[in-house]
Amino acid sequence: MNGNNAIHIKDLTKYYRGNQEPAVDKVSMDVSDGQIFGLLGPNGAGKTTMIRILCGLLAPTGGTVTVGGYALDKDIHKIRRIIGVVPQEIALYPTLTADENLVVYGGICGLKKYELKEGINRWLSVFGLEKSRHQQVGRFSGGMKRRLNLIAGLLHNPQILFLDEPTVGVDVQSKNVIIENLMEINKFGTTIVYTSHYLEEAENLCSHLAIIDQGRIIARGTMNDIRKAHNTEARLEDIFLELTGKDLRD
Amino acid sequence: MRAIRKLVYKDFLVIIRDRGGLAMLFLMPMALVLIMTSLQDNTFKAINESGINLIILNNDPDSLGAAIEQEIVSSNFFNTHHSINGQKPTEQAIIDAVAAGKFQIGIVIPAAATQKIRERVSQNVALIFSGDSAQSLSQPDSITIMLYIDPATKNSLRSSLQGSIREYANRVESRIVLNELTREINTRFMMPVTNLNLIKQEMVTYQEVYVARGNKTVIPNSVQHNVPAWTLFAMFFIVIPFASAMIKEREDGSLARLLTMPCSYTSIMISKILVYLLVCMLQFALITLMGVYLFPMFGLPSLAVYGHLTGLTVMALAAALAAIGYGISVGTIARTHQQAAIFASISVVILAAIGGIWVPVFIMPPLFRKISVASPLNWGLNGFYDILVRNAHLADVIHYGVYMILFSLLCLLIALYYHKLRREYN
Repeated sequence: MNGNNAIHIKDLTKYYRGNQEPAVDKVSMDVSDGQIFGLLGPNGAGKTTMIRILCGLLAPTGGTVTVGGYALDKDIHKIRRIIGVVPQEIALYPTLTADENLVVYGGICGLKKYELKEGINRWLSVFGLEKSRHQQVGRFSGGMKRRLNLIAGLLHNPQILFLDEPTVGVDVQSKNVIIENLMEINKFGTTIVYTSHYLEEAENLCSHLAIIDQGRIIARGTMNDIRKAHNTEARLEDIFLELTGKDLRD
Repeated sequence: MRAIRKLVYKDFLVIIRDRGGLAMLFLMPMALVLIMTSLQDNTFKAINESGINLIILNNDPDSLGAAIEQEIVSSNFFNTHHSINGQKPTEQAIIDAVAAGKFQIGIVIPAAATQKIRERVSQNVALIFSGDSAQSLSQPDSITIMLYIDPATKNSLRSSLQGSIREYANRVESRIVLNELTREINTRFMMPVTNLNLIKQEMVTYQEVYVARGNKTVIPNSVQHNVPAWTLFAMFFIVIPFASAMIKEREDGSLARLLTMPCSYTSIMISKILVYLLVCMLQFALITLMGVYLFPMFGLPSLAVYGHLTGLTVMALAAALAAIGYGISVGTIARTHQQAAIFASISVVILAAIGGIWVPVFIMPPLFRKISVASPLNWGLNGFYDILVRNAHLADVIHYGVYMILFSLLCLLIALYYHKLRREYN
């Protein structure tokens, strides 16, 4: 491990093929163990690119990254064993039941049969899906899919959990149960890296925040740090608009 | 290993839950093989068994006309007619009927054709025995037998018919020559001779034997030829659902999620290879069973696989690996379902065409004959033909299997390389 840093990023840069402008531009930051770290920014700011790089889905153009103390460019296989990822998309197999989806994902993450059974029972119960466990996911409502998508990422108790817009498009009840349980998971030591457009949700959930725009970090720290740095008592949304402007983004 | 087990479980469930897709994976290839074999079998019969309508107007009731007519009828090659609408036709009526496509061939034998031959032969024989070498042998007026041919009739059939008629005419002419010689000899010499026509005319005959390895005789039929060809074709069409499944997994984020877990792209591919290999082998088993047991119910010959099952299974396994490998590369490189579906279907048709599925390689133009050796369908087809038609054993065809497995590995390497590029440069 690199000190107490769950994630250490130095000069991380990413250019997409054919683009002159970097999607991520020499970003350096640390996420400490046990933090709930919010990565915020307007559309196209570079949040998802950063998450995809940290998960090993994209190779960075430059910079160094360690996740859980393992270098991304050398120990990607070790990193995959300690992380959990909840992507923005509903990354589930619609013709498989909830149970079968979790057996597949949990099994791939190395859970043994009894661990799988226990974990699946527990999390389906926590997220109110136990009655639908034998139903094909394609027949689930949007909120149910979103909750199951979350379970698939945290079933194996990862050290570090990446969440890319986990509450997008869900009702208030589903959102509430997701947020409550993320806080609960965090209490047991899981580091959470979280991106969202819901700033109020981020303000309540995250212990630390970074605002990213055009591939650069433009503010970071706790909510109080950010307020102090900008000498304001305003809400996060107001600070965000002040920093990123009111122009529409693609 | 645990990851691969779970991936296989997932891929297996994904396939069996899509009942429509599953039915298509098995029923469509079976339907394709059955339909294509039946069609080819009928074409085969059409050419060989009285399938071609022929009208004959014989104006020469003597030897030549009778011989040609009898040979045509007894050849069982044609469906021979002597009348149109119950009436003896005129030459013009025959031309019109052939032009209208009612008959593929019309034959008109001119009147007194035999008599003309006889007269000329008689003159020539008399001349030969006169001892007067100054006089040249007379050239007979040509006797023209008219063949009216539907333009849709194949050239090969036309040539074959011309050859046959020439042979019948020669035979009649020889017979007349020998008769005239006999008569002339008996007139001029003290010691009479029996009719020279008693000498067996056909001293040279031929016998047709389909030879195969191990001194075995194999009688080829449309089933032995078509089942391997269309089974291979159907097997390669698995590229489309395979590539689509890969793209769907990529588009809905499941692939990305899998790649953040302790499993590599290679293990994801190995799982798919195993599951689709099972599908392909089941396809092969069902088509083989259909060929053996169901075809006879449709009036087709049964597929003879006895003694060849090991070789056929190994070839099918190698062909399935080649098809799946190709599917992996298409599924990895194509960005959308449309790209994959269009490219995969057209490329499989092209590979089949140059591989000899539709047209035998030996009748292709030289350039295509060279290209055909690069088609995995050609390797598979050669392997299957060698086993089924030429009585080859596994050891004789294993090199074709190795080519197909190497092709599969090459496709897999291309897919892995492209996946790596996509991760780095996307």
